[in-house]
Amino acid sequence: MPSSVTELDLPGTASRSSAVIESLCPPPTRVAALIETRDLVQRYAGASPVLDRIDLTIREGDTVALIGSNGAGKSTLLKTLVGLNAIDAGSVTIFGERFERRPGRSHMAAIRRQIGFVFQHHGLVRRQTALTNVVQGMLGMPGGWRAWHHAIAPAEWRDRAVGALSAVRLADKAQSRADRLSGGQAQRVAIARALVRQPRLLIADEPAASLDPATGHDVMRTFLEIAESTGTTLVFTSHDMEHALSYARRVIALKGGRVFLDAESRDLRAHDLEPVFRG
Amino acid sequence: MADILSSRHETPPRLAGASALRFTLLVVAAALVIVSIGDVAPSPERLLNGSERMVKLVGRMLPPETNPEFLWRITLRLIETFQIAIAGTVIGILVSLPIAWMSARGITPVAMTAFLFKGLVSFFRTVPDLVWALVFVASVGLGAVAGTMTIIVDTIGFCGRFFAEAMEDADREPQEALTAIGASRFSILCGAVIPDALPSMVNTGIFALEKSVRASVVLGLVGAGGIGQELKVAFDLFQYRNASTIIIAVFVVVLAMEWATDRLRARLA
Repeated sequence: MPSSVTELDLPGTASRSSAVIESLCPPPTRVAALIETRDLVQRYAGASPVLDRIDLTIREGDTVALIGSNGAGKSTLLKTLVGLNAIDAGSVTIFGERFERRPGRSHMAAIRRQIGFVFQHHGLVRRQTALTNVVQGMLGMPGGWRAWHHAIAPAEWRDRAVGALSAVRLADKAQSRADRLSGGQAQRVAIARALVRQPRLLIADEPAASLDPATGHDVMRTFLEIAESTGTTLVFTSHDMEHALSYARRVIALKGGRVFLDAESRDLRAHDLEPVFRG
Repeated sequence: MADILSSRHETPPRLAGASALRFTLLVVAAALVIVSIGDVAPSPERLLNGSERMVKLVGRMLPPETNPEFLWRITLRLIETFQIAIAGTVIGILVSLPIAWMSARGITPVAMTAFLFKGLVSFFRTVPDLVWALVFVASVGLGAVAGTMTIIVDTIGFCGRFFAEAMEDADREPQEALTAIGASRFSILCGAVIPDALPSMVNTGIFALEKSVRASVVLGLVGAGGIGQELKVAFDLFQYRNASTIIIAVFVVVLAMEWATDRLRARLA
């Protein structure tokens, strides 16, 4: 274990760095891998790679924070996992299904059915009620057209949506329009929308970045409580080290499109992680 | 303080210098306006002669015809005019929805053919409604059906464009969020795009209805049904008192329509 993570950023320490990363990596366990990426490369037209040979394994039930500065590749990695971006090289294995480039149509649908995705800006339909927005979490499921609006949704989906709103402490706002909710409430509705489909994997792309600190902690606490109580795997990106260390068991830092650090959060608390964000 | 405000940079000129090309274009545009006014705008003598005849015509139009039998016939024609507008607008709006979806950038499920649908909508819009009326009168015969078909095409040209623009302007974040969980393009359209674009689309629909009521009044002039047909007959047979009654009736209907749609828009705002 290094005395300071700063060592990782010293010039000419490539072999030393990999040794340090290795020492920080969590020990292998018997829990099944939910996501595996091998030599994952992703670049935008002509530019240098946003993701550069990423090797990652995320196990079922894990809570993982992806940290890094702007442009480090965090959001790109999340979008690549669900097939929103095509891969330039390497492969992704998710829920036991391996794909290169982009998953096939039916394959992609099967993957996305098991995922709940929360974005930085909640992404709610502003003129719809919280309940309809949560019911819309069932879009993409068989018979998903009935999730266009809560009024035409099956009773079971409506009940589940109310349950998801209760889980984020917003059952009383079910009939409120999304554009009349506060930023924190809207983000919690977005979490409920992700939850209603009972996902195996909950992905959140900087879910607290546009919220004030207190609301941000509230939203992150909600995520953690849900992930822990349901055993759902949680992967979120953050710029906030405090969030990463407090709400994830494992922290993966990306820098320049590569994995810079992969460690248990409890092992990182005493370290200066500023080099992760330094250019 | 004065030192801080004294700039070391040159103050830009009040007007940007005109290039030779820009100056030439300005002169050509000014010449075009002057020549056009000289060729087709009414001269003072012509205005004077015309106004004398106008006063005589207005005199022959008064008082408006109030014969109950005539008024009943006009009422029936007004109802027909309104039916042409309503049926044409509603059918036009329904047909516009899929066309707008197919032509909206970033929303269409078939990006390759979007320009074809955009082109079709532009074609419908740029050909004037009276020309469409002539085409439909020639193809389906005189009467209200030709008028309704004209309004349908006119509405597709109008709503097809503005619906597509409203869809393109819809908030992208919910669309991305729903794409990430595997929603189909059609589900995203119905669940996220249309709810977000709805106020703009309803406004466009109301404007289309207003426009259709006005258009359906004149369609009768070329035989496509409605009150316009009565107006043409009145002028052709020099029944100016009948004509003034029809003009007043049309004015009342269009005004009532605008009042109603203004109220509706205010409620929806």
